Amino acid sequence: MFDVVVVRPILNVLLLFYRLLGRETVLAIAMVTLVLRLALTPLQLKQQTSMKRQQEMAPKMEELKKKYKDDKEKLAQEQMRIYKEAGINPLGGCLSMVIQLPLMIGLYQAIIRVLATTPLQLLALPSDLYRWIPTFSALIPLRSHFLWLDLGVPDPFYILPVLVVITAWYYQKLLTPQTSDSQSSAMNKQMTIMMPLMTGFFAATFASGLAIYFLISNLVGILQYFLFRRHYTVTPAPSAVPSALPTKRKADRITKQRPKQAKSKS
Amino acid sequence: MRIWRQLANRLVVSMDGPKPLRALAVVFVLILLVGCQGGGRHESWPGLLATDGTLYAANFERVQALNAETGRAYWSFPAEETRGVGPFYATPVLAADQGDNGILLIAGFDSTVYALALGETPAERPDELWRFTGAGGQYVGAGVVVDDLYVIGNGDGRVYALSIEDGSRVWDFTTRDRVWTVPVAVDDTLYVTSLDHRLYALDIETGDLQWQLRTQGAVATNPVYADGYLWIGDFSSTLYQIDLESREVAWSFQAEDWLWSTPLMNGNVLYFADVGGNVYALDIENRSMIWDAPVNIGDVVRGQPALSTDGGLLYVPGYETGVIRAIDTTTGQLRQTWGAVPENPGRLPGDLVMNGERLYAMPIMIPVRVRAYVPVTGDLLWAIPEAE
Repeated sequence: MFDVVVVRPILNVLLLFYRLLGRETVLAIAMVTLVLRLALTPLQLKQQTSMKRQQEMAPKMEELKKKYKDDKEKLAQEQMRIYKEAGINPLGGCLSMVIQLPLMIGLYQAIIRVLATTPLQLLALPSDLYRWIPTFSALIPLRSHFLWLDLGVPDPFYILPVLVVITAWYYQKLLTPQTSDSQSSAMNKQMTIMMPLMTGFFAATFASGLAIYFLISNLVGILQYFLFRRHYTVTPAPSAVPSALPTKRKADRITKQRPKQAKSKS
Repeated sequence: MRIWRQLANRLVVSMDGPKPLRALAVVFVLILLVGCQGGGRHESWPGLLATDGTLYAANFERVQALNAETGRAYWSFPAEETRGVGPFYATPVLAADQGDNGILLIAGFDSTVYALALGETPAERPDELWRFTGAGGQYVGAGVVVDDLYVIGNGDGRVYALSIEDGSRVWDFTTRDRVWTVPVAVDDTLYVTSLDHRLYALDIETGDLQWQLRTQGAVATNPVYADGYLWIGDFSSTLYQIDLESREVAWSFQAEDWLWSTPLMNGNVLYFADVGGNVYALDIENRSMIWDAPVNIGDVVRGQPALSTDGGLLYVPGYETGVIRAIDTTTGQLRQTWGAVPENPGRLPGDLVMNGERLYAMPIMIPVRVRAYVPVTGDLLWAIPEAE
């Protein structure tokens, strides 16, 4: 089911780009990654906005935790009430990620399948092709050489994995929220190191076509961050719990006013 | 409703702060790990060479010599399971006239060609004569012995001509993509197909290019020679009849799916099958199909079919079900189905081998690695290793 709905459409779009872009596998991977990331941009921004709002309210939540430290049920009810009043769906960010993840995994799988490094992998490919596009079969196997790389095998000089680690680290650093909570801060630091290393490990171990995907994906993510910065950056909220928490309309107004304030300062 | 509300409340508590990101990142990594296709043993499609009384079976990380009648193993190469050797896709090739008792040439996915000097008896463990490690890619197709040369294509896109005596490189020729097929030698010319959509004609002595012909798709079927023509199939589903004199395509046929299974010639009839499971019988003299319609066996076909001794039955290996289907060559009717093991069928990507009274199949992804059947009845003679 996942194959039919997610992997195959992406795989065939990849082949379409391959045909349109002069049979250059790297360009095809780059284009599909770019298109998919751009298509997911509204969802990602929505997710970031939701997370940003939650982070802005984090100090208030900390105070609530202290206040109701012995009554978890009451704490949850109060948190729900505050989120409701502020117009925040605490699961909103996760739902958008739930939609994004299968697509990113689908792209990852499509690249693995279309590169087909072993004969048995290539044998599985015909069933993934859209047969109503007859020229697709004639495109197989994809050209796997680009500069010093054979896209079907790991980069022998580890240049790509290093680039992947650097870009992944920078992207992760941009995404990592500032938090006053020491435990969360330590965890975030670990993630900023572990995730790039893990991605770098994959990039060094598997086909370099996948490393290209990781690299493009990171670069697009970084570009997105700078283009839509206001959705990512968090303004620390006042530490004291206000008597009346901001409504959704108020929160929106605050968000809209921020760029103007920034301009007037400069 | 109350339970759901409580669950939602708990979720809200647990998702407070940056925890959701962390949790989802971990899930993402786990899913990536599951999706990654690394680790474990690298399966291949095994190759089997049947000689008088002895079988040489290459699969996984070893080549075994077996008694053809009983399946008893004489020896394995390497003697112990060695990491980094194989797996073997290429069928072993015997240079019978070389050395004292013949030289067995085996090529692995580990980019190495091994030459083994066979002993006086099949049971005698062979000595390793030489190994060639000069190629940059993996060997998938076997090579061909031409006089004192062993010519073999490699995944690095080159064709290597090696001296059988010492394994030295005599010449090499570069194509634009991987060479996964077995070359064919006709007179002084060597014909090689490549995944780069080309057929190359090379001078056997020097490796110089004589001429080349472009096909629509990548070619992974071994070329078959008959009466001045080469027959090859490609991934664009086209079967080509190539006139070696005019160096042009004399005739072509559009199949339903990719052609990867090597065609089988029997007199004037060419049997071939596509990846979609359609089996065809072509009368090559008048270029007409013998059966009213291709026979669809309902399975993927990659391996080369085999014919019964009298030519009355065509045995076709089904890749995904691991089942062999017998087709009546006169009528095109499906007659029998062998090897159906519903609980663990394995797969049959390799060629079927017929050697007189026995039909051999080499399944993968199950403990049994070689099966010997009685043709016509389909009775299982032996299987190694024995299924537990």
